[in-house]
Amino acid sequence: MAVQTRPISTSPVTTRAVRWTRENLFSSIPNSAVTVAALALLYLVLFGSDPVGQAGALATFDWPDLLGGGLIKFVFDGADWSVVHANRRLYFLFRFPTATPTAANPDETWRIWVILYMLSGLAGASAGLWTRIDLKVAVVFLLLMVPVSLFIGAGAVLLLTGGAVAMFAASYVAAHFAPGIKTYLAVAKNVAIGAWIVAFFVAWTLLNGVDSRLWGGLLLTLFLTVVGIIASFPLGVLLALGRASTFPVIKGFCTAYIELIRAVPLITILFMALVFVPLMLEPDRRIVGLPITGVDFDLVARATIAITLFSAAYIAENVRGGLQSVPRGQMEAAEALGLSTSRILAFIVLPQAIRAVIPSLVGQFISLFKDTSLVFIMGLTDLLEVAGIVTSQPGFFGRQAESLLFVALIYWIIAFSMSRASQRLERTLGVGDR
Amino acid sequence: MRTKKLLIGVAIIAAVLAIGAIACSSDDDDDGNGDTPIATDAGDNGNGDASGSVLDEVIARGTLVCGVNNSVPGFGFVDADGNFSGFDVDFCHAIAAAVFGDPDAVEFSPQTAETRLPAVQTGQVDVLIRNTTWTLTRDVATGLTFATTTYYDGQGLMVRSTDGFTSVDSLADATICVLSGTTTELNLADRLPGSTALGFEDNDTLQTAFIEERCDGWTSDKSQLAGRRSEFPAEAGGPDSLVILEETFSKEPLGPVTIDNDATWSQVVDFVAIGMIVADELGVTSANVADMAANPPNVRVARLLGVAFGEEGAAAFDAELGISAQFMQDVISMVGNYDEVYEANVAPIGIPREGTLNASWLDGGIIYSPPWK
Repeated sequence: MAVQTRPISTSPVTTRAVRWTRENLFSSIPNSAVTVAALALLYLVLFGSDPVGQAGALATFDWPDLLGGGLIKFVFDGADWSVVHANRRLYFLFRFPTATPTAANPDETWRIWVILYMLSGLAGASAGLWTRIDLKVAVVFLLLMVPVSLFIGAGAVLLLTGGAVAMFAASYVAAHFAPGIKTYLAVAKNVAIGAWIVAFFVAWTLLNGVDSRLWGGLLLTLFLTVVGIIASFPLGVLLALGRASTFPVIKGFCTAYIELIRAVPLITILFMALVFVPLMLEPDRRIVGLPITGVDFDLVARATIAITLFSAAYIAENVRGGLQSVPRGQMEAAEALGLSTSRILAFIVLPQAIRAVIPSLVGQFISLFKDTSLVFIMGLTDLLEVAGIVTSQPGFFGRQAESLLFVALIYWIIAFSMSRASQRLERTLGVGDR
Repeated sequence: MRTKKLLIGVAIIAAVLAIGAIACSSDDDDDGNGDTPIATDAGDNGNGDASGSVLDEVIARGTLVCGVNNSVPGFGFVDADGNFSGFDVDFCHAIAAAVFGDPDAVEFSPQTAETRLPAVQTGQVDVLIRNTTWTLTRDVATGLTFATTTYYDGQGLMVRSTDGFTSVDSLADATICVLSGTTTELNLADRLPGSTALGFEDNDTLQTAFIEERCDGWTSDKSQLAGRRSEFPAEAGGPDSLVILEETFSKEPLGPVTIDNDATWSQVVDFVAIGMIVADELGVTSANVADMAANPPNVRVARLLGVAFGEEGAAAFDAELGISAQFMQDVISMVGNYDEVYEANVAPIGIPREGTLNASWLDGGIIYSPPWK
């Protein structure tokens, strides 16, 4: 059916574009109709409902009417972005000390910069070692940091952000072109993995130097996401294995846990973490008669635990789907070879099971990332909550559209990065190629 | 064999759940919060014996945990530097100044409408100052103690000045924009049963609808209407294109909230707020408090500031609240009296104090303090 006679190398770009358009967008009457409808809708959202007026304004170059009346005009003309600019620190760090340092209240922002530098360096080195990581995407996102820091304005901030970008580049070059790196590539990769684990605990310690009640904005959103993912993944795998177990107590418990958690909305679990934990702990901080002094269940810890427990139930079901996709014969063959159960799981079953469900796992992680916005119910101030808060400052009433658009852009950048990383991982591991 | 294993498993799980349930329920009983009016050791003796009071916890901790709003203009919001600011927030600073002599020894805990009352009941906040209306149910059944009312709010109606509505009754069959799921919506249905309510989730979408003339009136607490009016966008006509009708058709007395059965602590909170009202009545301000403390003009000022008055050797008045006798000096010098706090926070959003319920009783309002003696 397809016409395969095109001489690609000699045809001009325009011809190829026309051909691509015809083949992909106007191949049939229903396809053409869908294309036209989608373009019309896109135009409506971006430029509004008056194409004739816009064409006239465009002809006479009549700013800003040539932008139409939709989203584009709002972004470039109608919007007053000063609400975002004035509150830039609140979006990223909220009340993390401090925008106005005093002797009693020293500036702790350096902790964030140390973490950012550390992660930039590690990301650069890892990109240098695992050359199959998509460098193009990394470079685009790092370059995006330059306009962001220009927007943030202060020279010192620009310098620091630029430093992080330079750190990434330097680490990449150092790791990629180090003499003899080819020989020690496997060792270097193990070192890098170890460094990531160490970096996690260093970042954890640095952050905990500041009272978690002062965390907020993007910082809190990312903390809940990263810790939630790292903690809920192993828990979910254990629950999935437990549910597949033949021992009825374990199987029963895991099944009950998964079904119970999946039947309750996350917001309910968060609310229970807020209300019931202090009721159970006070007045003398005991659970089932055991004193638990020394453990501070602050709000961030409770939110993290609630999100982890919730997410683990869903991950367990995803992984169970993967476990079922591994043919039973493989396990029997491994048993016949005399491998122990733990070895069968670690080397035969789990690698295949998890590889099979990467798309749904990443989907779960992205959904966890977005679900962290529900912690507002506990009185925590995540990124989305900041977007609502700043419009109650005098001078910024009714500027919610600007604030929400900015926050939506941040959410999109992060969620899209996660999605791209997952696609890359699938291609590297050859998922779907079997 | 399999059935037996399964039965054992079920039995173990049931036992674990039963133990958990017993542990939880006994913890609930211990707590005895709110709904059961049992006087605890701190409850029946306000003065002197402060064992088990929140006041002791606050002093031991070194900071006050204050539940506030983070998104009500003029009353509780976060400024661009990340500092909480507003009328309610200043009362938190005042309590911290009274207890510690340091208005910044406050940890603010933002609360939503849903979390604010549980936060007081479970002791997550020492005091809640978050535009919370004093009602019978909240005082009795929920087990809370309301301090003196610091702000008398009430529901009103805002209309476009060009539409010709002059009273609430003239909107009897009009369409009115309101936040859905609030008591405001219920009050509207009581007051204007013939009107059509158009519900919105937040004030920004509501404002957009109002500008698009999808409704004739906008109802909310008058303080919020005034805040919105003062910042009404110029391209939509500016503040002068709007009128807030005179009638107030609900009562919303707002004030600090503490947990029941802790008179020691409730009285501290109550009398810090009352002291700020007394200072306003006596004309003691942050500017003149130092002079007045050194050289009190009359015995009432001397009592408020906890200093001696009259002949040599006379005893200074001590409020016996379990904190410094001169706590009002710190409150007034560091935060201000009632009028100063009002003028700094509420007046700028377009609600002058004069002529409202929140004027001093000396000026025809109902902000009134019991005698400080």
